[in-house]
Amino acid sequence: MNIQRVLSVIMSFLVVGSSSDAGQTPVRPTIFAQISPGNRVDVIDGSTGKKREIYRSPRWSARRVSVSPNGDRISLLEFDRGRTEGANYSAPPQSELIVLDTTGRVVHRVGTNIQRYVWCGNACLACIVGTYSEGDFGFSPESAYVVDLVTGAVTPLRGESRPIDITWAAFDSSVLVKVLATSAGGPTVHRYDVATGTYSATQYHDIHFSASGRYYFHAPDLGDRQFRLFDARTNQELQVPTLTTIGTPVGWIPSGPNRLLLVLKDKRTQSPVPDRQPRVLPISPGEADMDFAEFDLDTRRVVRTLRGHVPRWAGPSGVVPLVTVDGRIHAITGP
Amino acid sequence: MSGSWDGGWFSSILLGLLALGQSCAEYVTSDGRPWWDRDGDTISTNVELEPINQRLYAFDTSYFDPDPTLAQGCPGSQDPFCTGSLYRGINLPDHDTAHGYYHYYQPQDLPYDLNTNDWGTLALINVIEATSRLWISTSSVCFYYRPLHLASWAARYGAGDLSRGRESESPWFGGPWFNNDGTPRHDSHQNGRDLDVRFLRLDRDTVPLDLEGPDSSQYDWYATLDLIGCILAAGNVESIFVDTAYARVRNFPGESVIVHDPSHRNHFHVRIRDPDGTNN
Repeated sequence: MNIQRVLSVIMSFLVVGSSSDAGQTPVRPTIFAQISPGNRVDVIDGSTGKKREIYRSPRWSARRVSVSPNGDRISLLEFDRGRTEGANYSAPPQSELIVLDTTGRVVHRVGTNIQRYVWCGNACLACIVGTYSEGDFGFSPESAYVVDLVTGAVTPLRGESRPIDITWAAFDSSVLVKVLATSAGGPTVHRYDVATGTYSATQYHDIHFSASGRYYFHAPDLGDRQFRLFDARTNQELQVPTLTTIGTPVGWIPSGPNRLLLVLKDKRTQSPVPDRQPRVLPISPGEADMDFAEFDLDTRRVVRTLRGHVPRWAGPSGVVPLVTVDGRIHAITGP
Repeated sequence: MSGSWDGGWFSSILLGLLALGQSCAEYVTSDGRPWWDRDGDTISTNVELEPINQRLYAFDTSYFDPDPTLAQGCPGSQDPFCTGSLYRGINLPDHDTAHGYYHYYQPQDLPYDLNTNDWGTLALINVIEATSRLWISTSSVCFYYRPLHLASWAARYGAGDLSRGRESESPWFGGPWFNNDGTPRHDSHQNGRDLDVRFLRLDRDTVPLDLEGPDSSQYDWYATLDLIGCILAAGNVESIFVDTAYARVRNFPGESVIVHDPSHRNHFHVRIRDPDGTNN
């Protein structure tokens, strides 16, 4: 069974979460993972929501947990505390990427100073190396590589010294690397084909693709505050006026093939602003639930609405869950 | 516990009284000008007296000096690939006379060389200083959440990277920012309109705070909310980039100044409006 087929099975299960109302027979329970206080790694049964601690990091910080596509491996970054002199870091926190099995046993120590990474198969990890910083990206990027966990082979993504984000494109089994463009017309996205090992520049503007690969979006960032949607075939920006009137896109839904998850606009009536009304509001724990909509780009319409929240869980292939108020777990993809 | 009675409270009250005195003093100068800008040219006396600013621009604290700075290019354009630069930048004073902010460097700056990462437009320097003055004063515009929750007096806030210094005697500052080892430092921070600010800590220490790490238990949520409000009150802010889920902040309905950015979990990023317009 090739990786694409494995993913499609997983994703078709994920989209219905705990239920099997889509007529699919779950291959195995889907697991999510999270970092809990105390640097604890918990796995969460996607069908029941039950949590189970599998590992407790002995180091300063554990973060960026992820799950392999088949759910057999859990990965995370462990950080050692940096040193400060006065107000400044004299030595920044140092990271190491480790891989656990589902019992919590460390089965791989992949590498140090890894800041971002993504699973590119059940035994493949693509990593961005850099130095922790308090800057625009959270690190100063240095290089990127792909590692085969079976053979231990490391394939540097040569010529790339500015990788700032990375994702797995399941639709064509490739790793997409977003790089810092420093000149007009310069490449923004590189593509690593896992099967052939080729690494090449693309014309894409961002790495957040729909499940089918037909569309991608650019999320607001420091350079561009606008959400932009592109047709991958033409690389032209799409104008979907109905989309912006409904809400703000937050990610693709893997049931796809081209479905966006939106946070619906706040329809509460804005009260008059008194003299001391703050312009910034806290998000309290009880306010985590929001109204979401699933928007189908092919038909340009909302296919369903949901109310819930996105917990800080990680799932296979970057899938993260939306927990609706009825406790059901639905799957979406990042960022 | 931030609301407990301890030595910090006593010193906080003292500091508050001192700040109140300083705040009142703003409005009683004989010439009607604020204490921090005695010649009324909107360039603070502290900025004018900063040695490197003196050397570059020979500011006179008794006479009107024009704003020498110009923000050119990006950020500020719809084109995400364009670059920017800062013409005749102003240096953020290392010593804040209002005691509201402290300045910090990145580990890539070792050995710390003053004035490498703290150049901005006058408008940005003014936002930092105005925030500082509001922050240490008893002004209600900066204290909405903390009084509601009986939190103790706030710590100084940490101002980090602005734009980089120049490499020669050129009048051009800023531009794309790379560390000494050639690695990229920032995407923006090119034309003197961007500032990084640390999240505030409950222990009021002037050290980093990463909301992804165990130190997040030290996150002074209410103080940070107030600090963001304070920066907005200081005026001229276009956007604040922050991971809203980790920082637990959101816009007031109808506002859009706060922009969710998942890469901002160990600081938030302030961008002011282009003071000289976006067409240059």
